[in-house]
Amino acid sequence: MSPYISPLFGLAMGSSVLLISSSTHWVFVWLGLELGTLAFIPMLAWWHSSLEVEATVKYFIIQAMAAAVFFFGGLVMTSTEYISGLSQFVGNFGEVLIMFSIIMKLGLVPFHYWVVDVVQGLNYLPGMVLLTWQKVPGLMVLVQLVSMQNGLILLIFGALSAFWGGLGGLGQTQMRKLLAFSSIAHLGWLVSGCVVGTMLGSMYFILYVVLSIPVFVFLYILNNTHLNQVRASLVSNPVAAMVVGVGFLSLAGLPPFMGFFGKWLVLTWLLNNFLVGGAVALVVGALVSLFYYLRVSYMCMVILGPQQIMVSLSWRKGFMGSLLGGLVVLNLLGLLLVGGISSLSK
Amino acid sequence: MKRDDLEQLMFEDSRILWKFRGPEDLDQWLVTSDKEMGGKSEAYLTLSENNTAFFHGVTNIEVPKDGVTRYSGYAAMRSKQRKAAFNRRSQMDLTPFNILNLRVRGDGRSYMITLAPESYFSSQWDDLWCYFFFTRGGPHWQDIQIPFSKFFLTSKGRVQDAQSAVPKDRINTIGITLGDKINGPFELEIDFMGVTMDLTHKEEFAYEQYYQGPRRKRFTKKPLLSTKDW
Repeated sequence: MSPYISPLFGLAMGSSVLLISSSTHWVFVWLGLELGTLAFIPMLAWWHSSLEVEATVKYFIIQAMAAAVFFFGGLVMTSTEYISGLSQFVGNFGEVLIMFSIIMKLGLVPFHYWVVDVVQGLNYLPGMVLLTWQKVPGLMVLVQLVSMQNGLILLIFGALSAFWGGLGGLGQTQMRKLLAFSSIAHLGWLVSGCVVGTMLGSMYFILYVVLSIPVFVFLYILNNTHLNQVRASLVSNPVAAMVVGVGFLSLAGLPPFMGFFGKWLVLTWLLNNFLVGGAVALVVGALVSLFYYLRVSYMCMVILGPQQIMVSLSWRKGFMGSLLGGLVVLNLLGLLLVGGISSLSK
Repeated sequence: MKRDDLEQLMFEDSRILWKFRGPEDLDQWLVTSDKEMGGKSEAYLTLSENNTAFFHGVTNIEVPKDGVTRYSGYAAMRSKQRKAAFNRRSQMDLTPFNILNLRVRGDGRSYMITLAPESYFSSQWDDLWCYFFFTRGGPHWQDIQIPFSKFFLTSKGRVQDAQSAVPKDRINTIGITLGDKINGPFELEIDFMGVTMDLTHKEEFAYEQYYQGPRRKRFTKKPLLSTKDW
């Protein structure tokens, strides 16, 4: 693909978010969602390999189905209630359809199966965009739909996602599948936070993006797609391996890393709103997913295999060292941020 | 995760996929030839005197007179599809490894290793990643090491323009094909097939890709008003 056209796709993806945020009519919201999806499709198949094309087609089919359900829900709502504003869709079948379409687009349980297959077929960088930026349009629609009637359903799906994301990643050895299940689990926390408050959901999303990007980027640099390769990276590029290890500990939600901060905020707000069941379910899910986070961190930072002593270190680490050091420090800032931003939420 | 699986993740650098020592090892393989489409080649997979797999037969390049077939003369052996619970297809995950090892003793002919991955869409069902290995024909065993980066993509026997690396995480079957357009008998003795991780082999994919098709010139030096063609 020509490098001159990719800014156009990036612009379209940005415009889709602006369109969704500035629209009240459901047709324009749908338009924004589709604009973002269609602009992202060519970026998925950038390298034209058969695996990426397969993943792209799977992604397109799922997103198209969700868009069709969204449009149908909007038509049902407009034809029965004679209203068109998305925030006015409360308590009927059209709203349920739209909510389910957004859940399908986001990859929340029970519509999460496509996430793993699609991410496994992609490279790390488009996979990173899929699991971070492409959540923004869906979340922007979801926060408009959250109400007393559907909040419980979203909380249940969020808790199930957190649990299922942990359960699904237990037996995984492919790093991309592991990150996909991790994303499903984090999406559960994210949706639960959105149900309690928009600000909380936004905070958690920003934290998730900040934590995920270094992990994806350095796995891309290490070119590791399997746990066994992660084990070998400690000798070939120890700083990158350390960042990946620390990043996974942060994603696990362990203090003092920044990932703990997000989970702590969500739990605090859930308990303040007497949603104890949801909080317990999220914590159980986090404990389940902790297993594979710790396993990856252990493989990255602790062990050496028998063959690794012979491998020489990579020599191009000058710039990367300072960059990576900064990213590790960023993760450790979680503890410092606890006092500051938690006071803002009050 | 069981302790031995964790140890496998931590320390495994090589794995033997098939070690041919008895009839039960041969039962995991299928043998085909062009006889299925009217050709005259024959292929068999038996146990040799040394208790190794013995792939032998005769290739005949005479094209069957059915008006459709244009090429003939191949023989192949392919591993059977592995099955999981409820008859689901199970794939081999060879991602931790980057070298395919074979210990063979051949007759001097050229064979081809084929890897068939799991594909979702029908347009990809015929995708095969292939590479050649050349046997010496002597009495000595050959240790052949083929990096996975050397495999190239074919579909229905044709090398594809858009190449990519073999998807090692979803290999359905591994096969050996003989189709070197030679009439005559062939013999290939196989001791074992395995995979290895060689940390010094950094190549990801051996073949460069070039843009295909005409390119429009973006910047021309021709001025807007040119008297050259007057």
